[in-house]
Amino acid sequence: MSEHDRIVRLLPLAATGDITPEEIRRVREHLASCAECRRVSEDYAFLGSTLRGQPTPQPGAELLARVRAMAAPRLARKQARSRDAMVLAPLVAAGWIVALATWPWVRAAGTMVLTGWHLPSGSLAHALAVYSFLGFLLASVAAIAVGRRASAMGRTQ
Amino acid sequence: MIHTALLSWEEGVAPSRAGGDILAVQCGDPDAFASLLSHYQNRLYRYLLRWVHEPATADDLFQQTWMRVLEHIHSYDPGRNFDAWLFAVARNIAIDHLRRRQPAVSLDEPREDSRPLSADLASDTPGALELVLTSERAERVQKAMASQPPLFREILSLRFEEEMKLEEIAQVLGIPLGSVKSRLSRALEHMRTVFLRMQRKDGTS
Repeated sequence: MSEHDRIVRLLPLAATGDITPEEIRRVREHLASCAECRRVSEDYAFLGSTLRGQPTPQPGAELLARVRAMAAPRLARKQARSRDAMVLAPLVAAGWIVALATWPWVRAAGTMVLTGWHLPSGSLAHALAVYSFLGFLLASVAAIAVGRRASAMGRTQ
Repeated sequence: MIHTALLSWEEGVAPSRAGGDILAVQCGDPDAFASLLSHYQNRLYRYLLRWVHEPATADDLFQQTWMRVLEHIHSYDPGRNFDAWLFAVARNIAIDHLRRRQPAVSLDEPREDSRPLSADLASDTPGALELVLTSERAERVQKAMASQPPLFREILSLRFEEEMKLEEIAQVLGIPLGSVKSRLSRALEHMRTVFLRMQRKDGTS
C-alpha cells in the first residue's frame, strides 16, 4: 500500500481530529503535495462543520409535559421507598441497641423465673435465643408491612 | 450531598448539576427529574430523531427512554459517564423499535448501490463543494445524513452533533474504540459519497 493510500484512509478521522500527532504530521506533509487528497480533506471538513451546525430539533412542550406526568407516580414510589429506608434503618439500629441494653435485665428476670421454676441454668442460653428470635420476628413483621404498603402503592398509581 | 462530594472528588472535577440531579432522582425528587429532563431533552430528542426520522415515533421513543431511565436509575453506577449511560438506554430502545418494525433491514448496510467508495473518493470534480450556496449545501448534507444507514447516522450524530469523544461513543455503543474509529471512518466516507452523488444529480458539479 502506497503512502497516498494510507493517507486516504486516515483522512476521515483526520477531519474529526481523531488521529495521533504523528499521523497528523504525515497527513499535513502529504496534503502539501497532493491536490486530490486536499480536496477530499476539504470535503470531510465541510461535512463535519455542516453537521455540527445543524439546527437542533426540540421536543414539543406537550411531549415534555406528558413525560413529567408519566414520571410523577414512579418518582413518588421512589420517594416512598427512600423514606421507608430512612425510617427502617434507624429503627433496626434502635432495635439492636434496645435488645443489647435490656439483655442484663431480661437475663436477671429470666434467672429469677427459672430458679423459681427449678429449671436448669443452661436454659439461659435458650432464653437468649428466644429473646433474639422474638426481635427478628418483630422486624420481619415490620418489613412485610412496609413491603405490602409499597406494592399497594404500586397498584394504585 | 456526601455522595455528590465523593463522586466529584473521585473524578477530580467540580460537582456538576446533573450529577447532583441524578442522585436526587434516585431518591425520587421530581424537581431533580425536571432539571435532568430539561438538561438532556434536546440532545436526546435529536439523537432519537436521527434513528427514526419521524417526529411522532421519536416522541414515543423519547417517552419510553425516560421511563426506562426511571426504572433503572437505581442501578446507574455514579462512576460511569451519565451521558453515555443515557444515550445507551435510548439506543437500545431505538434499536428494539427498528427491529420490531423492520426485522429484515440491516442497520449498518448502505441501502444505495454498492460502488466502491474509492471510486468517489478519487473524484475528479475540482472544487465541487465550493460551487453551491451554503443553504443548498446544508440542505444536501441533511438529505445525505437522512439517507445513511442507521448505524452510520448514529455515529455521525454522536461525533458531530453531540460532540462526544470516541471513548464516550464506545461506551454508548458498547464496542471497542478501534471499532468506533473504523465505523466513524466508514460513515464519513459513505456520507461523502452520497453527498457527491446528490450534488452530481442536482447538476451543481
